[in-house]
Amino acid sequence: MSEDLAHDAHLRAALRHAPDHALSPPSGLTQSILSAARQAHRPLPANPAPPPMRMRVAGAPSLRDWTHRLLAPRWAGAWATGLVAALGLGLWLDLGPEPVVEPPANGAATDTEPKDKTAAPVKVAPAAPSAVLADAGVAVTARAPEAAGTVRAQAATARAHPNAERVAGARTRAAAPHPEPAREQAALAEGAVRGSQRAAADASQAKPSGDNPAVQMATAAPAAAPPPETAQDKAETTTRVAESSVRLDAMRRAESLRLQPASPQALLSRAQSESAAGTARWTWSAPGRPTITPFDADAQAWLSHVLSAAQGRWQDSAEHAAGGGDAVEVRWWRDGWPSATLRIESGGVRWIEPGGRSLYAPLEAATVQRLRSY
Amino acid sequence: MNHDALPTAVHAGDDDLALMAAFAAGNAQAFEWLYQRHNAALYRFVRRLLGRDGASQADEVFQDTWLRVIHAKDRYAPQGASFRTWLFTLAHHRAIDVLRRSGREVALPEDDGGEPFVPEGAPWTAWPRPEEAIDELVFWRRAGAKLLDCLEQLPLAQKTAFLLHHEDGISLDELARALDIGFETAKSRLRYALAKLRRCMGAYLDADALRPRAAVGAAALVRDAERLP
Repeated sequence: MSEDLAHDAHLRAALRHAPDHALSPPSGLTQSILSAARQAHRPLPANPAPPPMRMRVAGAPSLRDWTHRLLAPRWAGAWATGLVAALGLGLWLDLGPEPVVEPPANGAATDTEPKDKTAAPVKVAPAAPSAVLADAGVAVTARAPEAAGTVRAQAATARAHPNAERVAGARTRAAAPHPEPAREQAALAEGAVRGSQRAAADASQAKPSGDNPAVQMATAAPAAAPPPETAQDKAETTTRVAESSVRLDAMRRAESLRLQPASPQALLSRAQSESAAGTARWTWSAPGRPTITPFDADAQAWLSHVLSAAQGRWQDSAEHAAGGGDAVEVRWWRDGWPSATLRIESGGVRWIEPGGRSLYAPLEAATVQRLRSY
Repeated sequence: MNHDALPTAVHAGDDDLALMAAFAAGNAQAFEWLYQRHNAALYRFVRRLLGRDGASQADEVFQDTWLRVIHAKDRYAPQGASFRTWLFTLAHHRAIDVLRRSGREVALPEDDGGEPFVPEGAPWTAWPRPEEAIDELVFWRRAGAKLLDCLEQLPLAQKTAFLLHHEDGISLDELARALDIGFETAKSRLRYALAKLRRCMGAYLDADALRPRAAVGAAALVRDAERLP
């Protein structure tokens, strides 16, 4: 370093004697800086207290934010999966071992010839089998003549039985939330259709019976058609009539099955079998008792008694208004999940399933009173 | 205070790096010792750097500088410069920010317009020795006051170079690194600063006024000193 750039002793001496040489920062400034240094090393509390609720709410995402998040694509799949799983679980819990009904091998031949006049209400709902099939997920491709015949048959039904449409609608609505019975009905219907093939073959060789109203109804449709019928057309028509009759029969059987106390019986059978095998835990609340107890042998005997008392009396629950406030409810749970409810009302018992289907069986007052006092 | 319980046990006489490391480890007392060691010089440096016009902002720059030290405790690394140099460099940068914010010109020519450096050593030969006794105190007080006036006339870069070099004793190399400039630039800034200050000081402090060290002359110097602000 050159000499002129060395520390100038005179200037340094002047700096040391400058008037500001004794200056020092204000004490307040010093305290502020030292306080900041201490704050920088202040230990944090081990478990900081949670912020007040108001602060947490203020910092939480708003409802709109949650909505946006839940509707985001990455959440949509999860929601759909969860929904399907919940639906499947609900159906599985609602599923009971229904009694197996063998499809009639020759149901068509049997039911196309009504044996009594009481069968008339059954044969006047030709659209119901299609509805049942549709509910069961079976694709039904209705051909035009058949559809026309169906419409005419429905019109005739409406004239003959004003309650038929309401009943059919109620049946359809009742069948909708229970796909499993509907599938059974569809199986019955398809079995009956297969059986009808044989009947159709017979019908194609024989002349339509004038006593058969179904055949009359079916033959009336082609008669109204402008082109004259050929022998083949007549055979097809006969086949369709036979199919309709078979479907009608299947529908009647399915409806009969549905209205039968199958669910209480199914619950009893299932509870007995699963309790014996130890695969599920069945509990219930006995009539008039608030506690939930195991659905043991005594309880099963009580339900058997109820079923025997109500045998043959189960009706559509829609035709019977719910009982008054004095009804006693009995509930069943399978592994903690609600399975069914039985309401012992003043005039009978009402069976209510989790899916909403309900049946009603009118009972005598003495029987009702006996059921109440379990 | 029980220093044994501190995260890093240090003492007041430890060097700056040890104290800074202790502070970074959680020893607040180490920072207090650092502060006591450097606060007066830093405050002076800031006041002189900002000059009379920026005296009101000296506290702000001083505080911000120390707060930066506090916040940078975990990242501090010597990198070849002493803690004091780093501290004064922080203050320098902060002062430039304040001056720019206040609209004062801080852009500086590197060579001062190409004016050749002419050493003016004549006045110094007549001045008393810097380590002079108490009877020369009046002279040096006058010289110090005059030097502050002369510093006001220096550009910021030259003023910074002079103060860091003469007040704080850092070398030219360290000065260049601290200000992030080349060595020649640092050398040029310091050279021009010295030339201007010597010229300024020599013009005011006439050597003849100091030669007759009589009472009359001393009394005249005292009167002159009393007139100083």
